[in-house]
Amino acid sequence: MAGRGGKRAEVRQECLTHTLLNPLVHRELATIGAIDAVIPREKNPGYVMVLRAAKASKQANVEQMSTMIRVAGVQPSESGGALESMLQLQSSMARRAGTLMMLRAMRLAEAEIVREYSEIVDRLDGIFRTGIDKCWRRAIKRLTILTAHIAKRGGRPDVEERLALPMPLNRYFAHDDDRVCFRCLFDRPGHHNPLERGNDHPYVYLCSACHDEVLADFPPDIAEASKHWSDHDLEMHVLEKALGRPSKLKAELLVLAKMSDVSPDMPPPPLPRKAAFDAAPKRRTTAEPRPRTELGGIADSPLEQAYTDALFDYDTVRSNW
Amino acid sequence: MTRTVETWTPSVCGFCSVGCGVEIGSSGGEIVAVRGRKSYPVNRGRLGPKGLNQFYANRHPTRALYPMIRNRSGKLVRATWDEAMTAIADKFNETLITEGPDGVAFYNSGQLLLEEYYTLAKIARGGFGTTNIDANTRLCTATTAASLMESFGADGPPGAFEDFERTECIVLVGHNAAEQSTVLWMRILAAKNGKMKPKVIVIDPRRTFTVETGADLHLQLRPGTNIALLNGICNLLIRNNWIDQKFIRRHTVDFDQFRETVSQYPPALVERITGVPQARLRQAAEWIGRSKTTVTTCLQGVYQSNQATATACTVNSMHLIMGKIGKPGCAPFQFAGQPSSMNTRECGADGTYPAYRNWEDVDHMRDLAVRWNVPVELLGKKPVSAPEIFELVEKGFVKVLWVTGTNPAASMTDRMQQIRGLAGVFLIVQDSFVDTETAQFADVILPAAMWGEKTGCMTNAERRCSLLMKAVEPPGEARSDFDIFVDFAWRMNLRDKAGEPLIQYTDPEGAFNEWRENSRGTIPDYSGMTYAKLVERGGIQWPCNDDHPDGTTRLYEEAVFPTPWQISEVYEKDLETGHEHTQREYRQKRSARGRAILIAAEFREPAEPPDREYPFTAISGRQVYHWHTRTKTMKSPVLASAAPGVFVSINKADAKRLGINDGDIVRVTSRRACVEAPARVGNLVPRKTVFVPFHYGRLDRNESANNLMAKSHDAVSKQPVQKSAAVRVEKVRSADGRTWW
Repeated sequence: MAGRGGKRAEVRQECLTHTLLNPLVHRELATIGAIDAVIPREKNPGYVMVLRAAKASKQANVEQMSTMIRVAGVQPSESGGALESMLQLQSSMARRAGTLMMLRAMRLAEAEIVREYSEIVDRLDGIFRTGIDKCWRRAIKRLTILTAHIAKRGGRPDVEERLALPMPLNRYFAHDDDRVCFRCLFDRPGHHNPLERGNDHPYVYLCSACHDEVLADFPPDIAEASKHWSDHDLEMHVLEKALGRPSKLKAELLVLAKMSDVSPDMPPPPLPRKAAFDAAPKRRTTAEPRPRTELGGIADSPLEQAYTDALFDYDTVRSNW
Repeated sequence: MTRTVETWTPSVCGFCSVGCGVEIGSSGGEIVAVRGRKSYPVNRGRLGPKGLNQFYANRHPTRALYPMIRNRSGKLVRATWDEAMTAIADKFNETLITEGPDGVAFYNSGQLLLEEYYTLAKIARGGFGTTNIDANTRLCTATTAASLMESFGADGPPGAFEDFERTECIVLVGHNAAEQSTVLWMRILAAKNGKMKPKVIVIDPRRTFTVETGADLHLQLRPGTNIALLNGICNLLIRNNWIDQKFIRRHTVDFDQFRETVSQYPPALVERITGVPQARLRQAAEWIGRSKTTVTTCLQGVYQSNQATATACTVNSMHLIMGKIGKPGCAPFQFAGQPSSMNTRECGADGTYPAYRNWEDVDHMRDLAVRWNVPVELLGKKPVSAPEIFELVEKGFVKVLWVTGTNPAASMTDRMQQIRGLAGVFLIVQDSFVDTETAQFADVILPAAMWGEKTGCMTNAERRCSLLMKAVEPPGEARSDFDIFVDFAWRMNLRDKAGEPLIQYTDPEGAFNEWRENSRGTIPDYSGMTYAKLVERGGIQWPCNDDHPDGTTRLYEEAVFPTPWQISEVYEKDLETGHEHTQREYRQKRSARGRAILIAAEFREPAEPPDREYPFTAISGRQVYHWHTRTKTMKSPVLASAAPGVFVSINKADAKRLGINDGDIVRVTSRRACVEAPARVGNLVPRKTVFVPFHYGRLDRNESANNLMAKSHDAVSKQPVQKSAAVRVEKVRSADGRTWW
């Protein structure tokens, strides 16, 4: 398994990989195109975050599967083709009909993708299986997010999506309105207040549970320094950290996994497995000649000349350290 | 003994962003001399001590001569190129399959060549879609880019170096020009004896060499209070009507909001916050306001400090309210740090997309996808910054980290924690030297050609692109970074939509030509440049295209700014959280229609203020004889002997109270780690402040200023705060009169 010149896994597995994965790559690409078509039209910034997260997750799946196909020496699918055009049209129309319709359209497509992953995961071995399992988990999480939002907006307690969720709806949403946490993409209950910022600023919302989790994630030195911060400054630091890639990835691998009833795939912190090794030659450096350092005659003015003279007179410079 | 030069090859200095023209003297396949190019407009023959002495690094015995791989006993042993590159490709493929694109990361430099950045960006973003790519420019000029985007809609420094000679007033904010930009400082000093005789105002907590050699007014403020001081100056400019109402009305938005914010900073309050006497503040405002022309520069004293982007934006706003932009002698000069940091920003090898394209704008991404012939669906990912990448490494999300031409084990804040991450990740180090602190944790070392040993372009802080010609062959088996990246793309079998290799060019000129086309019609337009033209002209300022075949001296001469949503590089971020508007929010917020945005911010205390346990503030900075972590400068006998070691500057009143004499060894301790070094006692730093130069970082010594600094960064630019940590100071032992100075 490698690029050219490297060892390769067995041919059967690679051919199988290509045959199985290219249709999924094709479908994921098509749904990305559909998402791109609706993002600029979405009014609720929270749902823009949901859409962006779905897009990023699909991009990761495509890149992962494309690598599997590429190492098999085959060209991965590079476009969503006619399906993409159809889904773009469908999602744009659904968007016009409202957010709920758009979410339902996306969920339909997503459910199909989850089903396809579930069908192929057992047919692969080794790291290919590990990889597809990760893609599948991402798809399940996307489906859960969409399902939860539809269940909430759908209103009735017996709505199909509500029944499909692994947890009661109030574990996903602490409030009745349409607020979406920019970190976990739900609006989970917790101890601290949710944080909301808008008015003249770009709108951002962090749910109570994420507020708790981000505060707990400050390293000890920053947590100590934060005792000096005003409430406003502390909130701004929490929001900044919550919106960073590490915090969002942690939420995806821990929180979304839990809320989707899949086992968390959070990596353990790496153990320092290497000691510093100095590969520099141990021989002594040969003495170099002292080079010419003066710049006589170039300066355009007495002031410049005085500076240049000082620059090459180390004692003068050192007196300014 | 000086050897006779056989050949002089035209090039550009490989240190700072001034980008002086040099000629490299070679003899017998070795570089033996460097001299300034008298015909080059930037320096006209001038060079600083680093520029003159840079070639000693090229022939140093610690050069990386062949690839190395860490064996099972933990030793780095010699390998062939094929073995090393296969190991890397295998590891990348395995990680991409099991983890996806979040599992790999690239951390590159501000010292590579344009063609190398472009190729790396294309591989990472267009090849396998990782967004974990950034450069060490995050530590030096990320705030430059961020502030230009916030104020004007896109990156791109508006001014030119000739503005320093055509101005009546120069303001240096956190810019120790005499030690950082020596040749620019020479030009400024020459101008002071010339026709314009500009007043020079220096804003810096330290009495620096710049203050000593050429300042007319020094505003010695407390660390971390830049924004209060600048708000105070802007307030006085408005109150005294030293502003251009017509320009404000026609070419800016949000003036009322700006005025409201800065009006809350009267001189008395500014003095209380900053420690700068009111009279000095008024003097500065008067010189700035009454001069017909003003140039203001910012550098690390702004960019690595508290409220970095807000401060830099306030400088931009100060110029906008006076209408001092886009004219000779007028520019907010947000400086670059390294010689090619402009290129990493332009080409998308940092946290941006190539040619200042907006990652959120599907049309921008579609345009890029067409030019690269890759699926548009895989572009448009939110960029990830270096501090985030290193956190991802530390937490185990990133499994493979490829470091090119930089030394994070010495340069990142909270360094001891960062080193733990480097010791755990699969680390590829592509560098010219094997003795860097980072290389000691490598799993694979790739020997890279360095300055003078390869051909390609660099663009300086005034947007001037120059061609550096190869003067000598690299030593041993070292290859150019360009060749290494192209080989990697081939081994990864990266292809475009047509099934053709993603990287189809094979030499730097081919890469440059593709970049020219990629940038055509964008803000940093290189389409009118060719290698032949660069050789002939010796450096051209972008945009250079059919309309401006000779390049463009300064931007915004018509005072039309790239703020419309269709061309803006960013949709305006929240200065306090870093969160960006969605496209829809940006369009609804206001219609800037080509007008610049006036930005002001309230002063906020630094994230780690001093307290009873840690009563001092540690700041860091540079010495003129060294560059960054001394990877190159420590190899020059002259430079190494001029600045042989770390020290701690302390105010003599504090020293007396603590029983510290000049040269005594002191320990400076923060919440994270400590520095032990001889004390330099004097009046250069204010009371309750210590200064530590940031160049030193040997693994076996407590000498790194970055040991002290927290892992905190500016919310918008994500630039680490390397100029402020709460510390305590204690004497360790007496020097008994022995010092190296």
